[in-house]
Amino acid sequence: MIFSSVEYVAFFLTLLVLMIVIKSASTKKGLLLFASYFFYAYWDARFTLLMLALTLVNYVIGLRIEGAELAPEKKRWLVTSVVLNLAVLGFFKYFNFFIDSANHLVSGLGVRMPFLEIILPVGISFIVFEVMSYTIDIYRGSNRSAPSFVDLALLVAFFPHLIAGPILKPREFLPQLQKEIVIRRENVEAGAQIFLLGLAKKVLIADRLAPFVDTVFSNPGAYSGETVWLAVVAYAIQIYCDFSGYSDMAIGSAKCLGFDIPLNFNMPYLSKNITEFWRRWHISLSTWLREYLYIALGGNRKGEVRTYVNLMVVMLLGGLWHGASWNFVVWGALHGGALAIHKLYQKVRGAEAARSGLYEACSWFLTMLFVCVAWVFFRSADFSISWLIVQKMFFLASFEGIRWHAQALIPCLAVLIIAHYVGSRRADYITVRLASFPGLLLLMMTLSGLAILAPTQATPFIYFQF
Amino acid sequence: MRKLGVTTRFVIATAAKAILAATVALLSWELVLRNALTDTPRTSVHPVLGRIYDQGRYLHGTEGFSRTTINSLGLRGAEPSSKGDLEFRILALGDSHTTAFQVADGETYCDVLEAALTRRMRRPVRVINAGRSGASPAAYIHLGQYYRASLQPDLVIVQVTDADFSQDMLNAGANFYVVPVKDAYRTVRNEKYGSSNSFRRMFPILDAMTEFSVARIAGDNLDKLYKARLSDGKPPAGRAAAEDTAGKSSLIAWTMRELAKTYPACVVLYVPTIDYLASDLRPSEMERLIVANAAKASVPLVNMRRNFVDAFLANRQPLHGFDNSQPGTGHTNARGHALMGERLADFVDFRFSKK
Repeated sequence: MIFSSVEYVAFFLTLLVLMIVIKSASTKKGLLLFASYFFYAYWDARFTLLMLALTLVNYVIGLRIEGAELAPEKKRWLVTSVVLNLAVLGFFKYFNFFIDSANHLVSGLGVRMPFLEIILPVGISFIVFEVMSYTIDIYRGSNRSAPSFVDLALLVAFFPHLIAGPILKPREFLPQLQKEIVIRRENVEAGAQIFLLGLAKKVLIADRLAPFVDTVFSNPGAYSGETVWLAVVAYAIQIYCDFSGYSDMAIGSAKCLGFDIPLNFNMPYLSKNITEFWRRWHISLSTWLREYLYIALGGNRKGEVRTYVNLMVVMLLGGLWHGASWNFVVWGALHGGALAIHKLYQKVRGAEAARSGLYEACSWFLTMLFVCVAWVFFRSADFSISWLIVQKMFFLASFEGIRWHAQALIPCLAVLIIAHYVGSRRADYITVRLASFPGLLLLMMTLSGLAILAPTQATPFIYFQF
Repeated sequence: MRKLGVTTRFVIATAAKAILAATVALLSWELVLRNALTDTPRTSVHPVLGRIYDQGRYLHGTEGFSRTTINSLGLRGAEPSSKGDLEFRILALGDSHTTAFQVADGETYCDVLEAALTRRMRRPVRVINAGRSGASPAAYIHLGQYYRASLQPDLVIVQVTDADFSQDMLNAGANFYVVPVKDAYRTVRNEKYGSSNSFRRMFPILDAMTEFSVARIAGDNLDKLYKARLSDGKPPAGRAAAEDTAGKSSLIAWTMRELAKTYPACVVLYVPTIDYLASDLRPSEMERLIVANAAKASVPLVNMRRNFVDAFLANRQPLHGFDNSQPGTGHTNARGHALMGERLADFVDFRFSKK
């Protein structure tokens, strides 16, 4: 069930009421775990066993790592965990991709390897990264093993973050599970508002732009260059509102239950360079990649060239994590290259060099231009379509075609600019007392706005495909 | 007791604030909708015409944009006055492509035709836009006597599309439809025709709330969600799914004959369905049947396909669709209406200038 559905509201309210009524702390925890598995089973019951198995295996390995006295033994268990986890991810997500790529390579030899009909378990990328961070943290000594299997199971399966993140840090979330789950009015108030904000972003902005983006991206050759540009900008807004909207709904749901999960987006379209962008966009993933991949590869500790190589490898794999397609690899490569170039530029120019207003404006513009162009590869299912779009954008193909100045883009852009401006003044969400008149007015305006303006055809969350 | 009193006071105060907040919110949205998105008059039942829009102002902004007036007959435009001595009067019958709420006053093909003919014929010309959303030739045939007597047209334009024959004429849920009788058909007025909104049919008292755009749109959205859940992807009830076009030939033939009988001076305006993104822009089978049967019944037909396709090929701008919907889909846009108006003006000028 998706967060913006009637089923989810019914499910969540039922859970909330039960959490209030039930007095036993252990029962509440058990109920939360049951609810999380129910939530996952609603998508596809078959893969609840996979999630359970991954949790169990990593729980046992975590205990083995913690219990091992010698470093080589710890490392062996860690390697086992990493290999197993990546094997699961690799099989479900990348098997057919690698077969297809291999078939292209050996097609001249008359050899063709068979594809398997593999169903991708929802949220598998997030689940695998979650369990990997658990065992790696134990190996590094930055966290202890979960006090119980139920705690680890809840870390992995906690339904607000299960399908599309944010990826939780075990050392931050596990301690929250040690406290009794108490439903407090101020948490429900704040959580409900954050949830509604996410819902509004998803339904009123992302879903409104989706028909325009989908139509143009499916046949860019038929549309004019200016329409293609508008569609690219619209996609940048759509993916941000879709994904950050989902994250807000996850954060809001968790908040209602008394849990704090980390911010996943921090006004990324205010970034003035690509390094800043990756500190503001999909923060839980970029943090994970930095802590568990970039640092593991040596980070910036092994010389300048190795730093750039590490950045490229991390972003290539980060791109591939999103999906089994060369489009995502290209997207990752573009960002990896940009990060490396920015790092070099900072070294040459000096990180502390003075910056004028014009410099900042140009930096912002160039960063946004790059991010938008890179999104083309992220969005398109086909590399040839991505390339056609880029050609049209930069006058390398005919600029002629159907002109469509999608009117939905204007209010969406205006709302986004205002929201970014207001958000840039705050480090956290703006919430009001719901029982106050301003709070009630905001609530009524939002709910009635959703009822009036929500498109009747909802689009799936973009990040669910990962 | 004191604690209970405090709690009760808090609840009452919060409830009062909530009611006030809801009222302010709904009024705010009502203002936004009435000025930017939609402001539809209510409907009522006319003794002859069936369910029509009430007289009033209309704002349509969900596909294209227009602000216009609805007259006492539920039609777009000024009140039809009594016919002047020298006046050449044209009655344009059709569905939403004729009503054309998507384009502004002055841009519908009726307005373009009237302006063009006034210039060319050098006499007063009045084109009455009698378009009604969802109407089909079943309505035009059924109401023929009424239209001729009350409006006294010199020429009648009957605008048709493929959907008239594939779905609308046989739709028993419509205001007017046909039923097969032996080798022919008979027009029927649906006495029970009401709102298509499931909740308003279940609870007629909700009709009173449709005065407000907020209630109407929220209700329609809820209705769509409800129907989507019920149907689970199956086609909506009451409308025949697209059938084999060969079976429609007798319906089209009968329609053309009846139109010729009902309106001795009439011309059929065919508005084609065009997939602008397809490499093949050739006519549909339904279009071929319509053209062939119009010729058999000796009913003049103005087919806009060639004009629309040529205009699209010239500058890649579809003659259907709008920036706030999707170019290439939906209703005819202002450019399409201009082409239709000019093409009809050429036809009328040619036909009636000889007389």
